[in-house]
Amino acid sequence: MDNKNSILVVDDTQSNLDILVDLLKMYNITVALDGETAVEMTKHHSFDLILLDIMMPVMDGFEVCKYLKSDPLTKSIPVIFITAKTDEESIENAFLCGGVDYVTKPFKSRELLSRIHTQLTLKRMVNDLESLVEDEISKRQKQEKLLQQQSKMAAMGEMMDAVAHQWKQPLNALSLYSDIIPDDFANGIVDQIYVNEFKTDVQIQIAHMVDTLDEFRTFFRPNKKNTNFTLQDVINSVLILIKDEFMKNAITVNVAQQDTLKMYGSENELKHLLLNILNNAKDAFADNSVKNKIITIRLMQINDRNVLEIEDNAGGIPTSVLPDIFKANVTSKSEGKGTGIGLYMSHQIAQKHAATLSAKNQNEGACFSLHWFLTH
Amino acid sequence: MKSKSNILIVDDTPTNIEILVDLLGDYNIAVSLDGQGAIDISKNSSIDLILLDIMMPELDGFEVCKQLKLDPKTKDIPIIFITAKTDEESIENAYNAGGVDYVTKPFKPREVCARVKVHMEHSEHMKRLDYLASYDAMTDVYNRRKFFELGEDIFKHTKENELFAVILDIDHFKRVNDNYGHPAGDMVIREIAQVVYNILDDNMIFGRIGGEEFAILLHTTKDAAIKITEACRKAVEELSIMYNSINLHCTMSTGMACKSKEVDTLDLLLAKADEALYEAKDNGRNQLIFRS
Repeated sequence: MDNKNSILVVDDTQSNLDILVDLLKMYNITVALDGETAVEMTKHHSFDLILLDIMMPVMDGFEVCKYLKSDPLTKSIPVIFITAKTDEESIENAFLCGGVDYVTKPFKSRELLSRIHTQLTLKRMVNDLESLVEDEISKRQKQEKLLQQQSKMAAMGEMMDAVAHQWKQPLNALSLYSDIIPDDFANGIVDQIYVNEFKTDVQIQIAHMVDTLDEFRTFFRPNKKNTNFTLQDVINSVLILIKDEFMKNAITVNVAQQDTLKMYGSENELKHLLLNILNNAKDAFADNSVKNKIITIRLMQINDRNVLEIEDNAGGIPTSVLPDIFKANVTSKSEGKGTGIGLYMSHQIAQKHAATLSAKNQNEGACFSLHWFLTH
Repeated sequence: MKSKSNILIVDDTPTNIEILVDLLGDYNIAVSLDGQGAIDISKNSSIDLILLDIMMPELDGFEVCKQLKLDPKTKDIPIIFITAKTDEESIENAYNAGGVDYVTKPFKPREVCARVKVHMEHSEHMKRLDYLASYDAMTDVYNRRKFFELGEDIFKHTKENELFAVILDIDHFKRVNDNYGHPAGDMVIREIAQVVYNILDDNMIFGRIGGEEFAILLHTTKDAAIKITEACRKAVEELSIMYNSINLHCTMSTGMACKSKEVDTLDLLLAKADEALYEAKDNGRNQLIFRS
């Protein structure tokens, strides 16, 4: 309602103020007798509209208006100039300073009321819309935050699963050691040597668990830094991640030839690439029934090129799919499988590192190879 | 470059018009010598501001202003009265009729320009805010809030069996995000919204109501509603979206419901359409299910 609006009236003549206060008694009126006071007041109170005289000592109406329009806190308060000045120059100047209306004295009361009412209505419409826009923006931000949270949680869950998986085997071993020790003690075979061996065995298992944990933590932590790294390190890391899972599936991973291959870029992304191809092979083994499941990794330098080959004996990629294997949305697997990274992503990672990832069928299975030029 | 704004000048005296046309050379100007002409022009072309004389034969300025303020299409156009009438009564009437400003003749040219500019800026600011509040930033179609606001309105003004709600949901959308990243997902949403938007007519209400979920309200017959929805579904099926030199293909499932004696609120209508959508998903996706 209009009567709740508060208006600041600025004029250096008390009698002018009296007339305006009387006319505008349906509003909450605050008065100021000079420009500085008016500016000061806008800092402590929020006004819906300002009626501003032009001719005042020290700080005139134009300066007051310019000042208010330059402060984010007060710039949206509509200012109506109300003045005895009728020259075109002043009128134009008033609008240039940011005024929304200009009324000359002596004014017609009903006209002034109409003009004030109109400006308050326009302001309220803007306010309503602004709060709607703010709502929309905060809704959108909340949604985005939620999405981020969800994907973070999904990654966390994935990591927890993977860690749990990798820990099963060493935990099993530890539990086995603790089961045996009372019997061995009862049988009198626990001596200094036994204790030393026991300690070494336990520590090996614990070290394996710690390694696994560290690997997963760096693996899932987005690491944007580019570094120089060797492919051996990448392979060793990934092998730690998959060791137990592949052992369970009776898949042997051989690293056959080991030239030292260097690369510059994101080590983590290369781990993703390799893991994805190895998991792809694992899934291929699950789909076929091969007895001796073997994956061979070769690191070779051929002329001026580095070559990483990963070959399996899982029967190969169907020829209908092979040409499109790195395209998005292409899979030879049954629905629901896949790491969520996809061979497409592996291909993208390779490209990012100035390398080429290709696939062919060779011997008894698929062979993925990554080529990149030597750097000196 | 922003295109010039359009101003309509309404005055029954050609010399007055000539002066104003000269003065407002920075804008595109349309002219009318009488009230009825002013209303016709406002309704049929996009006018950003009107300068309106009061004293005209037949339809006077007050009447023109009132009529324009009644029509949703023209009610937001700012109207500045520009007249020889200086009595307080007329000024008050002008504001009561919905005018935003009042200038008396003979006017000061630079004052008129300044006032036109202020109201033009205000109206542009309002339009920008209205857009931000009503449209989805990613797809440029109605956002959820505006969809429901317009939806409630059309629901009130349509009879049973002639209002249809369709919910469209992109199939396996999560895979797009997972496999190619969120920028690809955003692109898919934008392209699909555009394709559907191009098929629909102006009188259909189309909005994005969820992440990968859109809704349409159609005031038409069942056959026509099915035809249009199927056209949308097929168009999406045939759509090939290029993302980083990869061709992405998507399909969408659609669920449709109709306003009826039992389905007597918009929420219920959309819930029914949603049920149909789930049926379409369960049934193998990329299809339309109608729930009567």
